[in-house]
Amino acid sequence: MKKMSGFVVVLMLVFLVSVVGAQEDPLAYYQQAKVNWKAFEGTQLTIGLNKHPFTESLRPLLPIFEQLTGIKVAYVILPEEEFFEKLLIDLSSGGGIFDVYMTSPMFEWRYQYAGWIEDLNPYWNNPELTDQAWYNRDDFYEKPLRANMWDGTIAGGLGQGRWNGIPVMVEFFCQAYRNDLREKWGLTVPTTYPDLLDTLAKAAELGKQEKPQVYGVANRGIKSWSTVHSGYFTAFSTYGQKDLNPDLTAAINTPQAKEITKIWVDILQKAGPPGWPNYTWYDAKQNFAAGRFYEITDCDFFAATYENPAQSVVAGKTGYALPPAAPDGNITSNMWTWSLGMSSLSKHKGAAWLFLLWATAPQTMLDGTLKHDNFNPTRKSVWENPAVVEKTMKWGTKPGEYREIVDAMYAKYGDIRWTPNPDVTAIGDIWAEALHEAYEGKKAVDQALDDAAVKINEFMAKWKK
Amino acid sequence: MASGMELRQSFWRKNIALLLFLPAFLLTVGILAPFGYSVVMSFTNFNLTTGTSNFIGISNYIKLVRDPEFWNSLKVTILFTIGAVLFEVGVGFIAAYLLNIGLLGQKLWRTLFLLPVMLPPTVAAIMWKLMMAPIQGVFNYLLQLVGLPGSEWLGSSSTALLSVILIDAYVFIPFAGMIFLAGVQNLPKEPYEAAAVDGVSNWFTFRKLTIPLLKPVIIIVLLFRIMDCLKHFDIIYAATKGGPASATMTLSVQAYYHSFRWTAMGYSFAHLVVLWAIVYALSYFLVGQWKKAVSEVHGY
Repeated sequence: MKKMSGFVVVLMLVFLVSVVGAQEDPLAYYQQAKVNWKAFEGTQLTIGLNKHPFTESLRPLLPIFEQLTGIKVAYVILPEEEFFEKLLIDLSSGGGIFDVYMTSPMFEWRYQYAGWIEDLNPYWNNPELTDQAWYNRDDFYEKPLRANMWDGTIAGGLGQGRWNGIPVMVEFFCQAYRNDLREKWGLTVPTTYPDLLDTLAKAAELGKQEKPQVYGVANRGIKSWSTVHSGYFTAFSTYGQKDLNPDLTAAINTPQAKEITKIWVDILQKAGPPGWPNYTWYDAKQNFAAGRFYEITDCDFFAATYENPAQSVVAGKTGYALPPAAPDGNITSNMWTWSLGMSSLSKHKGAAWLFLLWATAPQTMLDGTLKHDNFNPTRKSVWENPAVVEKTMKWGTKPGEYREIVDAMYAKYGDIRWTPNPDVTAIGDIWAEALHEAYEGKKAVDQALDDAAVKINEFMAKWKK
Repeated sequence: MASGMELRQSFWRKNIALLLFLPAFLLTVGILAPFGYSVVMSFTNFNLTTGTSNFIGISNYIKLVRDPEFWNSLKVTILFTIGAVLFEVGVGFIAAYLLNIGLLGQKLWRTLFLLPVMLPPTVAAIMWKLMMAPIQGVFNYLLQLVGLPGSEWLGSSSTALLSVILIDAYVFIPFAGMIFLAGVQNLPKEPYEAAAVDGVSNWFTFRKLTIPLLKPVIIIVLLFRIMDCLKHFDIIYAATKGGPASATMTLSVQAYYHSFRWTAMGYSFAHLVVLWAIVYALSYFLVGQWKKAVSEVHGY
């Protein structure tokens, strides 16, 4: 009897150990998929990555992929501008260093035309390579997923045709402000752009009394399309404006476009960071987190940094709000989504596809967000995961403030605002130059936008049928 | 009947000159082939996105002449070159003099003086960009410590060009200084002894002896620095990307935008061909001046 009970105890122990072991085995989840993960064992992949929170969330997880597949992963990480340029040189020269790279719709439009990015549809539809049921593509939010699909129609065709990239994070553009200073200074949260100008101008004045000085508003300003893309394009599209007309001529110099641009430039001149034309998003995020700004009109996902006490002095002191509205009450936001795409030049396309499948699988994306702060996630199951909900509910002046904004962006306000065409980043660069000229007082806003429109028209002429 | 050995020796005797010339020939072809290709491509609408590469005659050059951005970038290139060269040659000359008068710890000073030239220019640019950051940069902190207002440095069109000139000067003053130092150390002693006997002032000696004797060295420094500044890219792009409002947009940076940001390679090559012509013409002139100076000083 004693022997029997001892045997039962041992059996139970073995069972418990095996259960715990199974839970701790990081490969078990992936091995449920009807995919031969070892099909390309011994291959080496090179991944091109931008210096970004997503990259930091992916790197610690890479050993799991290597263990699962036997594929070695090397990677190159560069700051955003340098990354895109290095990538362009690699792709255009036929160098083919990168098998997989971080990308985004605005860039994919050029890559697709030039034949530098692989259509993922054939891999997705290949049962040898993909277990569609296990992967659950429907779990992705529609907006970032369709933004990475394009049929090549200039000024249209978004969400159709080729599938160029799988979205790994998404960002919208909202207001983040120092609620402690708002209360101290008796300010209100702006709901219109003229109101935003007044509030930030006051904040910039009041901030001079603080030690160290607190500036009005952080916003990126470098000579690049990305300066246009964030807070400015959000304001611009809120006023009902588009970058291009249907006939592919520039639409950036309409009366309404000039009106909102004047307000925006005024905000930057009265309350923006000193040396705004050389300010990157890295600078804006870090300096807001360091408590040097009252407000930032840039990426919503920066909240993950602001609310992390290890990286920020404004954790628990920050409020979040939708972008201000146009006079007609309209609110919009531009959208950016980082994705992973496959190079057409890759010599290891099968292995590259397995990497994409693994990196964007529900569990990988959940681990990236929960353990390593990849915000905002692009899968519904991750955003609605109880642990993620618990973490993000605390962000803002009241429970759920941040989450409400992201939900509203997905449901209503946020979307990609650029007109699909391969030269969109060139248009953005020219446009950013116009903002610089207006900010520096070299030209009046009207003149700067008119001149930029002429240059954009020259660029777009080749795309007219 | 010649033996195999004799045949081999005969082959080497006949062809040794050609074989010795081969590396130089390959190097020349290696330089000239891409250059020739670039010139040819400047007459096409070569675009990486559209995949076109059709001959369009001198259209790119006509567009260039009509493009206000081209003229702005030419102006910026000239201003940058004048500013940087004057700064580097002036300070380099003074530094060479100071390093030659036997200061205490001269070896240490010479070592420290050389450090910046060992830095990759891009690294130097990023380092200075951080130091010049208006909010958290050390320069404004130090200025405010002594009660002076901070500057926007690279972030304002009124100070950006001067700021990139400063960065360039930091990296290349040692280069100029070391060449001047070598020149100063090789000056003949006799004319100076004669001048001392005649009791002339130091200023007179400097003007009438040192400068004329150093003329070939000065021209060599000018040649290297002018060529380098006209083609300058790395420091400016890393520091400002040609901004704000094109205040630091040199021809090289402009060409880079057209090629590696906008994929309009044909138009970019047109910029670079014009830049090459300017560099070549100036170099040709300076080499002529250098030959003249050498013959004046050394009599050959």
